[in-house]
Amino acid sequence: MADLKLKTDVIPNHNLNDMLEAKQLTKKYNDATALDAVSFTVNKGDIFCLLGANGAGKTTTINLFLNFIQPTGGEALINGLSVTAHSLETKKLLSYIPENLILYPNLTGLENLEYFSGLAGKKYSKDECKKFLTEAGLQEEAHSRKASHYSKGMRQKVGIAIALAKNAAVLLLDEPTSGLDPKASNEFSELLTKLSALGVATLMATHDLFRAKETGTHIGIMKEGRLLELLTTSHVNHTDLEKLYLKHMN
Amino acid sequence: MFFHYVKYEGLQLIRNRWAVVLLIVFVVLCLFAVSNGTGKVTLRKAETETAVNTMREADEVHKAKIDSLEKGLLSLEDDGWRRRLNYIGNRAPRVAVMPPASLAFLATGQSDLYPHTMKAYLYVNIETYAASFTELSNPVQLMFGSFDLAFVLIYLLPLLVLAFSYNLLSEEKEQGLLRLTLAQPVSLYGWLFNKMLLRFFLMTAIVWGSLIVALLVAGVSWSFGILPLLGLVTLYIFFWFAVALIVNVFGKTSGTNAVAVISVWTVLVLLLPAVISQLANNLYPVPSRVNMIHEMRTAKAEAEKEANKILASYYRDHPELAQQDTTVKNQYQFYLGYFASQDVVKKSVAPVLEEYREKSEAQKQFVESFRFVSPALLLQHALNDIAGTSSRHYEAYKNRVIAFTEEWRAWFLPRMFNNELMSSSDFEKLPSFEYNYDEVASSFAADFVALLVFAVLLTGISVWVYRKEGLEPVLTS
Repeated sequence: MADLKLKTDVIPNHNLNDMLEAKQLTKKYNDATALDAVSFTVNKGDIFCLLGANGAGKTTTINLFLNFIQPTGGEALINGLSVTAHSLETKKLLSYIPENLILYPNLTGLENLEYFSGLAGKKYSKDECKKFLTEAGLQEEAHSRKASHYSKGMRQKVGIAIALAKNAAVLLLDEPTSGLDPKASNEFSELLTKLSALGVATLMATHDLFRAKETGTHIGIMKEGRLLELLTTSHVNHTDLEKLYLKHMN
Repeated sequence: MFFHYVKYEGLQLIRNRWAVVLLIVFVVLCLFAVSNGTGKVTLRKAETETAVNTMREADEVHKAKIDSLEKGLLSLEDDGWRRRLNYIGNRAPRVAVMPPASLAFLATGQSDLYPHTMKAYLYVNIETYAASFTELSNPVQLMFGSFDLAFVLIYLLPLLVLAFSYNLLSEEKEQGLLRLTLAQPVSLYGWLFNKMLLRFFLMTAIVWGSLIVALLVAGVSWSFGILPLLGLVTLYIFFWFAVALIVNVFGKTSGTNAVAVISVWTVLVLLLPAVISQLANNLYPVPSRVNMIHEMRTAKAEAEKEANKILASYYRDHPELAQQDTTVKNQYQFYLGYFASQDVVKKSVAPVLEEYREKSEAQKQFVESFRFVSPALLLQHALNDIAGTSSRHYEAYKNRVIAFTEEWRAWFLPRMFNNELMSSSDFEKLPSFEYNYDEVASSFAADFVALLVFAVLLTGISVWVYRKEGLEPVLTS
């Protein structure tokens, strides 16, 4: 991946490695608390996995980083910039792959990539776009097929290609491997590792303990809007992680 | 950035055949409407031509007979009456034609309620005065008009615009595309506005193209009159896209949006015009036309009974009309009494007419000023104006005919008082009627500006709603 040009001049005391930072992030809907004072940081090259049951606040956290919803308290920072105050700047830095990534069905994978990276202000030649798609693992013959014929795994590869084309420093993933077959799921994890090696900071919400342990560098366990546990993946084994997770869920 | 949307949205619109379907639907609608409209105009032209030709033929016959009389080919004893002025003035009436304006096919307007040919006689023809006072109206026709271009543009075009735009945002939200889009550094409003703008340009191109094709097929001659039409229609299209824009930024589901846009359409296009028309009738009721004609007939009969007495006082009022050669008895004696009585008739029916005129004018003004509540009414008004089929045009025509009737009488009466006869060379001197569309002030500027204000205002409201609502309801509901 090409060099990352990051805005650092405007942020005092910002650690250059902190790409994502949640500071006492809170979201309330009337009386219900969806997210309760959650804090964590994701460094360059880290893959931070948020584990938890449905409704634990994983998607809310990602929505807050995307500035799709407004925090009730605390703030979400991307590269030291508050996402609410610098919505468009922070979106230039991030790439997002929702649980079910949908593309324009009438456009080909290539055209979808051109369209979305164009929205991000990037202009590439056809060949460059094809290179991104290949790099993301989409087989050549699919590039010019309409996206309506794509499987979920193929659409997610286009999502990764968009991240590559955007030269994204941050990747936000919302249960990207749910519904993927084991091979596709494995391919996807390999892509994440590749991006991580390039210095991309990844925040991933997932149910998949196994993937989290395999690909993640850090794990946060969430329940009912609170971040209960912060782990470094290399310090736990599968069994301990599962035990810990189940302990919190019960 | 706009061209980025043009390229990829355009590709999709072509691939999902929206653009093609719209184009075909609209061309067919326009062709049908224009053929209806030109059909009516052709009929109107044929009717007026027949009337004018009949008049010319009659003139030739009268002229020929008089010529023969002048040359002594016909005996004065048998055919002398043919030269009498009262005979010519009543039997060779002038036909006063309101020819269709060049874009008359555009909007039927009032053209199916009013006559386009009237005749100027020497006697007072009550129909002339009552011509533009009509209460005959078919409610269905009033509501929807005929299937002319105005109908297509005012009623159907908004439906196509709304069908093309009501779910721009909600569809992407429901498909799940919106989250990916908004993860890019674009503002929701800017993105939506660009999409709308592209569709607006496409729709405008389709409408312009269809109109031009329809006009070409109809063989309508070109004039600059078409430019105001295109301008008004463009603003009208923009207005309806702005309606869709507002509905979209609320971020509701496609179903809700569909109900919302149809409600707006119903209120602006159907309900408000109906309510205003009903209010105008209730607030400014126009007296019965039948009663008016009855009152005029009674007044006329009364005055005619008194014809001789009236003539005596008429001479007192018009000493200049006294016969120069007093040695012979005026051969028109009976008619002169009659004509003098007509003045009294006119005076006595004047209050009836005036009451009728005032009420109908108040009603017209009410309806005209309330056109500013709905762009549909504005466009209707403007199109009738361009087509020359507004009630103002017919009123002007009626007034012109009344004035011309006076001119006609003024040509004959002094000659009759002077006991003269018609000569064959007089036919060229007879006054002729001309209707001028410029007599009615164009309301184009007011209608255009009002439509523009509507379009800008609604776009402004969409920005306001967006600022107020924000992204959250759009993305989380």
